[in-house]
Amino acid sequence: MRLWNPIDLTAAYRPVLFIDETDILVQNSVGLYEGRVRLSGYQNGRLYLTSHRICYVDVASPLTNSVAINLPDVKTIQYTARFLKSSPKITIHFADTLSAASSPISPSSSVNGTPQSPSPNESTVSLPNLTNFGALSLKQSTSGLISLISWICPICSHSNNLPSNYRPNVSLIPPCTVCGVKPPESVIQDALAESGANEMTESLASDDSSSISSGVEQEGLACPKCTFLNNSSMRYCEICGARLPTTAFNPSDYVLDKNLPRRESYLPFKMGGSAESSRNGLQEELPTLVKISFRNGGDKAFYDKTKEVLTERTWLKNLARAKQAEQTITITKNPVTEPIQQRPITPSFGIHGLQRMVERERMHNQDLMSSLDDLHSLMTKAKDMVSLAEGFAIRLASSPGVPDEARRALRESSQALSLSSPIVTKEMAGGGSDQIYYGELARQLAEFLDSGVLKSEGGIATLFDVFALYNRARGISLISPKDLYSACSVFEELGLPFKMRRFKSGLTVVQEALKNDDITIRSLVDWVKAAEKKPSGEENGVTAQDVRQHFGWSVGVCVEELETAQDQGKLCSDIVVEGTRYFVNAIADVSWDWKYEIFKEVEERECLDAREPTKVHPEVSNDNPGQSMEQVISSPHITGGSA
Amino acid sequence: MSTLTSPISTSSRSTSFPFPSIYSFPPFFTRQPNSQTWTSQLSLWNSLILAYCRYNRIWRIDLNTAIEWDLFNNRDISRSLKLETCKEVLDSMVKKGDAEWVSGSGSQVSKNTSAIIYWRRPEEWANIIADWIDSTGQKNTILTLYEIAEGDLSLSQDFRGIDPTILRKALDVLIRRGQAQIMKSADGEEAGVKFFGSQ
Repeated sequence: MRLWNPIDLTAAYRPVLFIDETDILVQNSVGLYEGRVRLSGYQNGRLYLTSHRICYVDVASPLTNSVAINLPDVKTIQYTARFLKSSPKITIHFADTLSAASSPISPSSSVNGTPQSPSPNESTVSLPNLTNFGALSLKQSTSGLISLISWICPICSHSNNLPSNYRPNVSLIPPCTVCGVKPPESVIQDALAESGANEMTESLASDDSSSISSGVEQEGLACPKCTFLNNSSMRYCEICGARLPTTAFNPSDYVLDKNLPRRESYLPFKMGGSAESSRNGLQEELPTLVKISFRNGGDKAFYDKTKEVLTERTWLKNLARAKQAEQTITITKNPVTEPIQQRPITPSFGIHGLQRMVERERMHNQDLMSSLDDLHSLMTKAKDMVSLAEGFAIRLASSPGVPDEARRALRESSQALSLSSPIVTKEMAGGGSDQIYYGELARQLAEFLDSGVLKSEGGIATLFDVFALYNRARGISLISPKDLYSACSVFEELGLPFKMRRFKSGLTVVQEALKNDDITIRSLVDWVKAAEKKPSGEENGVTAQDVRQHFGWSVGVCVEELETAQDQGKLCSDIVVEGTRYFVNAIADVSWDWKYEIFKEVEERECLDAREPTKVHPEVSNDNPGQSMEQVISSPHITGGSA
Repeated sequence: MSTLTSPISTSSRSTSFPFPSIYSFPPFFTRQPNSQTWTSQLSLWNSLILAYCRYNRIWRIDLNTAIEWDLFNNRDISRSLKLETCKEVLDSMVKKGDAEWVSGSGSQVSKNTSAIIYWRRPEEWANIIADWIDSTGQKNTILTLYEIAEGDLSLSQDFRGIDPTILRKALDVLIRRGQAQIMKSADGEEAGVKFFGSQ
């Protein structure tokens, strides 16, 4: 059994829940501690309380630094209120099996726990194997991440460990884990110098360190000054305060560690208290524990909820239900998976098959009837209904001769029936800031849109459509338009693959973040170019309706996109009483030399006539008063103007 | 060209004005919202109006009647230019010097409904008239304005039937050049114009 479990994340970086698992609470800005040690890289994340787990999702690197604690492993939780500078914390104590596995003193219990005990390179190490291999793996897990240099807080005299990533004169001085007050730099420097000196002496004695350590563990440490037999975990004599020789610490081991392959698992290493305890036999009374620090409030609510969940122990019920469900699923699956080619209606054979079919039918009917009793029971049965609908869908999909339309309708209805994950409610944010709620809402929206909803809307959906679709999928505890708007406006901030876009007219849409306006406009213009020529009898140009039919956007979006393209000069519009038709902009790049094109003929004639002007004019003026206009225009005297 | 839409009844052209292809492009009759497109649309209209007026020998456009001409109405695609758009077009022509508003009776209402179209600028007309005087040997004779526009000798001329306002502007150019002089009658009315030989 291990403390930290890997979790799968959705595209929107929310934990993927198990069947029957439900989200309960979310809190952001939390950090993790193992024992007393801050886990670096796990200091700013969101914490999800579900009915089964506590999931930590890191903000900076969610894919690698996200872990979960299984609630069934938890023994008790403890609440520590804010004290001076230290944030409120929840301490999680793990069940006996865990502490037993990590407790070095009782080998028998760890033997008992062997079925669950992990492989040697897993985080919790059982000490009885603390011979070569075990020791190595233990150090491997502790290597490099924690230095055992400790300093004494001058305020409260608590012995703190220096964080692993502490660099003298570079890192900030860490505050005391108990009182939260930062020590003067000299204290740290003293501690560093002291440990440096110790390491030197210890490395000299490293040859027989392993034998010493195993011996010492049982007997404790004799103080070099007053000979008091201290507990082996002590670093300073309990009587006289003199520094004890810390034989357990062996720098040469660390050198050795570097040659070993590093654990590539993304779980935080088992560190600090437990690692040390397994070595030194310390903290027998203090089993493995994990602290969660709440830097942004919400601690009390989280504690209460967790307590509630722990007492409810829903996973036990769910386990039973899951087994039941499994059975029903296998029953329903049978007709689907078994060859339908024979006869789709009778999946099983003989009277027994018929009986089973009738039985199943009866069960379904029962489900339907009872779920329609009242709305509440419908909601509780929603999950079953969805799985039933999915069952139908699978059957439909695999049986030939079903019209596409029916198939599509079923798919759409099942899609609209429910969300893939439990709905996000304001309560989940624990009454904390709206920001958490909107963030979660945005994540669920992203999952919802990602599940094909946006695709069926042509990649762009107005906020109204999203509102309607999402609320229909929620079914209960609908969200308000304002909530939706706020959730959509944090899409980009959260790095979700969607974005909200406001058109010039104020129409707001949600679209894929990757699709920028240019790409959309270009594809639109390309299409208009091909589509504007209509067969004879119809008017040329495209309308918003045509665009809607081709791209699948709603009409409002079509109009906006067309107008955007027009604003960019790519399209031009033809506004008539019946509506607006759009054309590729031919106006902008037409040049028309009217003098040449229309009067070209004239100028040519002028040239001819210009040769014998004397002949023409008497004729014109005297004999031919009724000359046609063409000839008038072609008279040579306009040369002055047009030449 | 049907008689209904004919701008001037005297025009006896056998063929109608050859409209360019842009004339059959429906958006051409809609004022384009994009400013760049609108600019080129304006210049296209500008050219079209000048060409049409020259082809049909139209001197002025009165918007109240001209809006019915086939110049602004493409009946094949049943599109027509709106009056306000038409005014905008003419406004831009006035700015470019291709047209000029003429105040009809002087009242505010009729302002900006009637415009002279300069399919030739007054300077060009001045040259043409001077050439015509030259070639017909009418130097140092006095002609009335009516004789220039409607006289027998000008029958085949491009300025036949020229609008008096335009003619006056053309003559002004010649006067400034010292090629002509306005002769006034005893009661102070402009009676005629005397042309001098161009040097």
